[in-house]
Amino acid sequence: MLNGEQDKYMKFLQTKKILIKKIIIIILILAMQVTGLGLFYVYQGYVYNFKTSYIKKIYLPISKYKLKNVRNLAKAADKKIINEIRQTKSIPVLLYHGVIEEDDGYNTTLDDFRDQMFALKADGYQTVNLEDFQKFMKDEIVLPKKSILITFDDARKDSFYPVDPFLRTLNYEAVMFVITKYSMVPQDSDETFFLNKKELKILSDSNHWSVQSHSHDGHDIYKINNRGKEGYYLTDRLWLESEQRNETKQEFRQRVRADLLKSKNILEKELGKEVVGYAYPFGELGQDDEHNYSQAEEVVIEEASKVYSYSFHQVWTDPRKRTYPDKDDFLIRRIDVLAGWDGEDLVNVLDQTEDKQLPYSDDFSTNHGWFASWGNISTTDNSLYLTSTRTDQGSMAVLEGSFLWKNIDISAEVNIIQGDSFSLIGAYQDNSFLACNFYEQGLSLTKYNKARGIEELISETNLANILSLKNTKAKVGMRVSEQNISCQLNGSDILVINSSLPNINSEGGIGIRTWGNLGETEVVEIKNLQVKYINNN
Amino acid sequence: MNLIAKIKYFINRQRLKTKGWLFFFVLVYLVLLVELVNIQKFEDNIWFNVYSLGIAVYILSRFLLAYFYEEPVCDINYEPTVSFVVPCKNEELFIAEVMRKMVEVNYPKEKIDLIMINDGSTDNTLSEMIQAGREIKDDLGVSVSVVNWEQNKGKSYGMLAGTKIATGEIVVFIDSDSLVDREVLIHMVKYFTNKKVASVSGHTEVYNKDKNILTRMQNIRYYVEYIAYKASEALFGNVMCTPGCCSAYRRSILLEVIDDWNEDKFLGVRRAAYADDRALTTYMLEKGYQTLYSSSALAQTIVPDSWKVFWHQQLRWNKSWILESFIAAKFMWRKNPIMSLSFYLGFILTLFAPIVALRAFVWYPLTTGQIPLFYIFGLVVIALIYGSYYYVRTKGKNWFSGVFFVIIYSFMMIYQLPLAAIKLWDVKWGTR
Repeated sequence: MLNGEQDKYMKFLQTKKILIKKIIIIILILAMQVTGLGLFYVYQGYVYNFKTSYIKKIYLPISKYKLKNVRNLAKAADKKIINEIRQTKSIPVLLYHGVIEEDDGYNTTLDDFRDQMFALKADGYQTVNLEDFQKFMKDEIVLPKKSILITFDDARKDSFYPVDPFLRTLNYEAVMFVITKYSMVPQDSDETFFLNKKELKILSDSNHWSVQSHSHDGHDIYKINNRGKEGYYLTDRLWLESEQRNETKQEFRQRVRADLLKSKNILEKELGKEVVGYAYPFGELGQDDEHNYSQAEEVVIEEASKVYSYSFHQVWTDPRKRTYPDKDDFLIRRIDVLAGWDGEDLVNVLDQTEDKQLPYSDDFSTNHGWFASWGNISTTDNSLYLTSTRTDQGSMAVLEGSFLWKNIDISAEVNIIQGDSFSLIGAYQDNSFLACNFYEQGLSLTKYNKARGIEELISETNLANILSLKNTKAKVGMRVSEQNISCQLNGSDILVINSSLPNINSEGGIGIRTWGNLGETEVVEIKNLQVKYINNN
Repeated sequence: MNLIAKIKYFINRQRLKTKGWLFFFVLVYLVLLVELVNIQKFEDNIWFNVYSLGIAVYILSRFLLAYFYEEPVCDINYEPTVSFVVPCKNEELFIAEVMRKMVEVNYPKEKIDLIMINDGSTDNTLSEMIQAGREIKDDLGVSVSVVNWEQNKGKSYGMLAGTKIATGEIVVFIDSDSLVDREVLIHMVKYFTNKKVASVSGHTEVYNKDKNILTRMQNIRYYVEYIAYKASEALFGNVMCTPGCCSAYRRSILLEVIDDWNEDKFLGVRRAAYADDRALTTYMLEKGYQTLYSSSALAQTIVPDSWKVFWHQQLRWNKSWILESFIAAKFMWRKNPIMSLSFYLGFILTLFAPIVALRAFVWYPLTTGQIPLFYIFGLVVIALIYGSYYYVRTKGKNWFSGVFFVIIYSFMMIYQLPLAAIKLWDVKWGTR
């Protein structure tokens, strides 16, 4: 009897042992399965947006890079230290849209993007995040010389999935500007082009991305008059169909304000992080000729500045590509990364826009940052050529990276091949500048003011010897200092004015210009340009 | 050298098994992935997404539950008397072998007897029976009774008569085309030490599994049906069908229900006519008895090797399934909550299967112009799970035919269920 009881007890123990073993096995397997599911849940976006070409175009190059990087670790560390020693007074902000497979003439191809990212890294560039960018703008921190802010507009899926692996690998960060109307929609399962709410939450929570506003309704086309003419949200007073009239200025302002607030509120509510940046739709600020409201730009900027700390736009025609804490406060300039740029092109652009050190001498062996505001420029045989065709009224080149210069002497050799005028430009600031104009009758000093849109004459001299510039190499010069402004020809001051005159600014970039009438062509050759600090003795 | 070869063999076997399980769990992971995607898109089509989730839960939970099923240890002191009851018709070629296998079981010969019922055979079955019976009695001293009916009455009448005549504490029903293993009785009777146990199903394998693709497929179906489904039901003592090919019943309980069972009609249909075994099990369960499954009590049965016969067998089973599920649905809620949940889930999902299939293959392609990839993917993964489960548990070849089986069987069932419901009152194929 006792034996039987014992037997039963042993059997019970055995069963219990087996049961515990089985439960442990099941828990282990379940844990593995749940972990697997969790991984899938987190990375499912990569699964859905995967393209087979990504293996070749993203993952293989990244693996190769990582392998190489391990070998070159010591070297890379050295390079970084060198870069961090020098500080920068300006920062380039890059603008991308989608990163695509086949070139469409607008977006960046994946091959180019990869090349650009690796080129930036190889050249020692490090991205800053939006927080550091803000601190930099407020002069709270200093940044190393090769700092850069990368931004993406529209929050397309293909501006995240092919991009993120590079950011992670290179330890880069980026800002995503979201069109809330397209991305933050309640039903997010069918959207295949724009990132959805869930994905943006992932971006926002990751430490590689910051999510900011790109307007709510701003990307649609709207009717702006009774004949059905179409215009944009932020540049035009829209046509109110129900009342058969255009909206009033007040209504325009209210609508803009509401939209600015709407996208900010949606993002902050859904992502739980403060939104401080706003990127203008289409880069439009009302500067388009086709708009029906001339004060749109002012109103939009004024309203945007009430809602956001920083707004981002594109610079296409302005020679100044970089953003300076001293010069820019609310409007941030962005360099539009054009289709077809490879890594070398991008690094060149960044090099050209870099702040240049004085004394500066340009041999024009290549274009070191001369930007054609209008007309055409080219560098050949150690000369810079300014040319204007019959349809232009001249040509003007501004040297990028010279915008912080002051108290300088500019000198250059000039040869007017065609046409009869030439100007040296100084104190260039946001399209306002001073110009020493050399022409047939003499020499003048003028001041161009962007806001007023006119060129004022400050001083003028009649001289007969200016024609000698033609087909001879004359030495021209310009001095821009806090004390005085002067224009020089062949080494002697011809025209001198006092800088203390009202509205004269003596700080800024340099440039060269030729002008003429419509239907004429001008060609000017410049050689051996030198810029140095003024000798104050 | 021999030892090394043995170790190598062992490692190789383990590796094969590990690979198999890995494959199995990758498939399970795939199912879970699909369901995760599914849950995230829940609002899209809530009913069909719930259905898909239900199917996954149902099937995977069965495999999980079956894993916890353990055979009890044999009680060597318990040896009740056993009567084999074999109703048969026109089995002249096979019957002697069937009888011989039964008496050759590893069990005291004085505790077993055979009751053979010749249900109106038109061939030499009767004389074969008598001949074999005489030999058995002479050789082994096992008593063999033969009941001869000139007119065919039907299998359930045979079972009824057999039970009435039987003297054993345990009655084992064996199909006239099933061969039992030597150890079958030991592994079945051990369950009956528990007084609540009314019946125990043996584990039936397919005898003619290598005959053609159809039998190969049925082999895997039988295997998974027993090892996963019956085992999981046995965990709660609620095996929904202890099949006629080889199952043991406690005679005292059998006698309580067998008269009612043979006569009872549901919706005007005699229940025992379609699937006697399932109806009998339902009776037991309704009375609150336990029905169990022994994976060690082996028997082999011959399955249809022609599509036509298979089709009619399945139709009959489906009819029985409809009838008995409705009846069981009336009381299953009283059972163990997990068991009853699993039962109702399986019941409802199967009922809706034809609608879901119709939507996937007709409505969906017509309205969206797309192939129902999601549905097909689900079906293939489930099929692969069956196949791989068979493979890792048995290392049997032809596991891949299990994949075909699930797909073909699914379509057949989807088509047959409504057909069976319509033809419920057509008993032409009901009699056997």
